[in-house]
Amino acid sequence: MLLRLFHRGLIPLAFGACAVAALIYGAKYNTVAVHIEQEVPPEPPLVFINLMTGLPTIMDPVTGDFVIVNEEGKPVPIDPMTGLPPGYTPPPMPGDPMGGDPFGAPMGGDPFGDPMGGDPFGNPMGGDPANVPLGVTETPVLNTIETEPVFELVKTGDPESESIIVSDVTIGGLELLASGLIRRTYSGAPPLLCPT
Amino acid sequence: MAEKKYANFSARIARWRIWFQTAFLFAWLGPFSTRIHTVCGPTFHCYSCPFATFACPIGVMANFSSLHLIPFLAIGTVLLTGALIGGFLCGWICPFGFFQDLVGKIPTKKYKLPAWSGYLRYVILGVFVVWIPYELGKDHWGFICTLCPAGALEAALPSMGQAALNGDPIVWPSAVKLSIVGVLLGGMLFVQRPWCALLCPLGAIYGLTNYFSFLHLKVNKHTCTDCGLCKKTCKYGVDPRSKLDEQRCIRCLDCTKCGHVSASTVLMHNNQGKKSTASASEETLVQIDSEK
Repeated sequence: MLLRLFHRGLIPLAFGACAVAALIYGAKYNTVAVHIEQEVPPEPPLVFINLMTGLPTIMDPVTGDFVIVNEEGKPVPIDPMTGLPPGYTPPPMPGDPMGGDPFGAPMGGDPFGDPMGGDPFGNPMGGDPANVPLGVTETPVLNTIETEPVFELVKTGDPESESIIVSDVTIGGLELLASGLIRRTYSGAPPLLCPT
Repeated sequence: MAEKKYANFSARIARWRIWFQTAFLFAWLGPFSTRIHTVCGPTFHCYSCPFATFACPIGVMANFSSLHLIPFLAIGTVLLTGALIGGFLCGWICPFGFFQDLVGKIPTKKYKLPAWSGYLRYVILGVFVVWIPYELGKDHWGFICTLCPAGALEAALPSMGQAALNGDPIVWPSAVKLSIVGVLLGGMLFVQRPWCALLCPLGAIYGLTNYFSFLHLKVNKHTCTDCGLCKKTCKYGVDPRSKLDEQRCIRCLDCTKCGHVSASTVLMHNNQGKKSTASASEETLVQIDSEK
């Protein structure tokens, strides 16, 4: 009788208690961090004005070269002979008789601050500012470049309870990206049924 | 009049098993489109079924395994049910078992499988529910849900029917899944509950709980005459006299018709068997023969 009480009384009671503990832990305390993919607004690319040509350029993120773009921010075709857009006439260059001479040409500005020459800080009566490098300078331009949408994984607010995870797996709504990194595969209203 | 010929309460209630199974269908199929998929049900019923009320514990376990998580809710549900009623769930509650019982009523010769075949279920549980999802992910062809015949019958076929009615393109289940369903349907004609007896991973868990469940079978050794009727009536080839807690037993209570085996708990001092006599067994035997 005692053996039966142990076998069919205490053992199922112990297993039942473990089961209830598992249910309580799962329902109330076990939480899982779930990530969703969220579109990242693209950062406006830096647009430079090439002082040699006076044209806006952006840096190609792949090659690292500077590409001339139009007002809409799109690359323009280049004449291979001149390296400039067809029909485009560049503005006077530093050193040009009609322009400022950074090296102190008599008719131009004096890069070293000659009182008779140009004003190195951009005096309109003189030549171009002398301390402007021959390269490029940064100018804010409206972002009109069309780029591919970029997504990044972000955690959903609070960690999800196991009940929600159970509900999500019944519709095939979760996938493992890496150990501990779980992604929800849907956004908005969940699908009704599991696609499996 | 017929009830008097059965020796004990278990034998009498066993005749109502099909109605219990039918009644429980209303719980699993959610007649009011109630979907409580945040809760694991204790039975093997695909959550992709349009009428499924609860989540399938095996599907949840496999999915959690693929996510490298421990399914506390599914384990708790199955363990609690198993500790209370063990394999009774398979025989009396499971909708997929009920379906197999109905198909099994087609009058064909049924063969009994050897005892070792029941251990194949543990391979299915370990490999297709735990190992493959954990190591290879849920996109692998061996993921249990992509093979499960219950999913094909309860979810894929209704979805295909619904798509056909709506004029939408029909998405067919995989050839492997359809093949498994075909083989299983054919097998139901020759083996009683082939899925439960050979492959069911949930039945494997409940089979283990047969060894300690609160509600269990008991043989009254004071009155047992070793007539062998219990073994003869068991459709799964279990001999209750020697292996009362056999892991393949679904507690259908067919064996209680002999009058010396009955469902019991520690709270019940079951002495019904003492009142039954050899003549009661003989009457039962007559009743069983007349049913056949």
